[in-house]
Amino acid sequence: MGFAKYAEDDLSRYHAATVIRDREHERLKTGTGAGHHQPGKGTSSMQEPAAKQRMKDFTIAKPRPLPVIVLADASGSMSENGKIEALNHALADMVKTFASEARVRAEIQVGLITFGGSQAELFVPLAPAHQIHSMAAIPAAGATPLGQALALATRLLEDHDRIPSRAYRPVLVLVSDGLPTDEWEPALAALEKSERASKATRMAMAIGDDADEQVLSRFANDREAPVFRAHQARDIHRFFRAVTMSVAERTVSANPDLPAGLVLGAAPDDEALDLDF
Amino acid sequence: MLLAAGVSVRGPAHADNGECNQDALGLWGWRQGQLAAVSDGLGSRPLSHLGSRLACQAVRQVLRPAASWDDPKAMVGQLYRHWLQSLPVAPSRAPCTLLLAACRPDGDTLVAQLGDGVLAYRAGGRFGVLAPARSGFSNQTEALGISRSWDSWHVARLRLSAPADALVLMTDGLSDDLEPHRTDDFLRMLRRECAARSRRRARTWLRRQLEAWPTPGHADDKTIAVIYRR
Repeated sequence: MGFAKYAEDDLSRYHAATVIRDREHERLKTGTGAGHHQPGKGTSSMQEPAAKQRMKDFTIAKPRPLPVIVLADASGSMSENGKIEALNHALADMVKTFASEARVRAEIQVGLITFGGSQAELFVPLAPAHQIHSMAAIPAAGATPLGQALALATRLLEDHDRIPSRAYRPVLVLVSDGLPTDEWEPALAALEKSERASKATRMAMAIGDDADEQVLSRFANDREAPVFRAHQARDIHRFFRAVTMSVAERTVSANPDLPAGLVLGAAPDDEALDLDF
Repeated sequence: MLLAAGVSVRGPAHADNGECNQDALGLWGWRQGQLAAVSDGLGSRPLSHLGSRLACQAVRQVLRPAASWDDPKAMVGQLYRHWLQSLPVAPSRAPCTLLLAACRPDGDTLVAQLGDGVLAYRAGGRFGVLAPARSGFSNQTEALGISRSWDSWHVARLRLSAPADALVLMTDGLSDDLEPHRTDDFLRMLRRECAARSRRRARTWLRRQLEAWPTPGHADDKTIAVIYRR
């Protein structure tokens, strides 16, 4: 084959190719391609088709949730000495802090179960903190149906639709100022025996001297966070600030499932909150 | 022809803290077949990265010389003992999950799993997942160094015989962020993309996918191994 025939063949081969690189285009345009073909150099992009699907087409677009469920005593005794007001304020503060926490590697979700009067209720359904724009104040009245609240928490934690298995270990926070008025022991036993709910980290706060600390101690399972005693309204804030920091710390750590413990800071310097229980 | 590709990348949480990748990957050609292992060191323990690496080594050292797989229970026991003997520390300080696949050239395959992660396969044209979905929450898992019971293991024999057959082993840092009901499609996509590339390019492609992981706030190490027919 003569040189002219070879060059013609080379050019026609480039024209037939699906992918023509810029440099080769230039050579074709300027007519300098003849005799400059480098075998093998232009083949890889032709062999490798453009990927039509990527792993991102199969991934979940939401961060892993970290549920925080508060079981709040809403019995009549909570209305005394500004306890319920302090609790409402501390909860709103916690949700606001979670919502504004930008460093987190998880979506912190908050749910609130209240137990007062004749029954427990899901006062704030579990939702991402940043989607909870305002929290209604918890009204305090009636008895202390703790057993119902524990049963409700167990049902919520066992619900795979509400809390998927990719969620980080949930946190349960129990706050009470008195004695339970219903059968709470079977409900706690059921929670401790349940497959998923038993794995939650459980913390507790006793408000005032009338709180049944024995009940709260049985509930709490986090060795790093023994039952906290609140004797003043500002202590409620201290406790929830510590819970907030503990949860936030978990979400930025390499191991968000490890309990971070409670580090109680100094009491807030706010005279209005300085009420003894 | 059976081929394999795999990669392990350190998660952002460990990278930010200057910590090493606690996952491990083992991938070896083996008598014209493939041998793959992925392991996830439990983040709560100080030397779990060591446990995961030794677990992958144990897979190679125990399964490679094995002449037969007719007694998987004995083989898993041998594997566990080998891992315990090779550990320079107490097992409770270096626990790790383990997923393994050993494929002969004719497609005869042994798969086994202890703990979290997903081992999914398409064998003889039929899709399956080795272990049931986790019932609890993330990072609460069975592991070497924690579980001593044979009942904790999931073991199966498969035959990768059809042209589009493949299997994938993934640690939970990756599998937890995947749509759970689309694992079959995910495996098909993996096989197609890997089979369209050379082995080296397949590995590069996998690495790029894991390094550009899109789930917001993802933190964990990620490891994947794919064995496929081409």
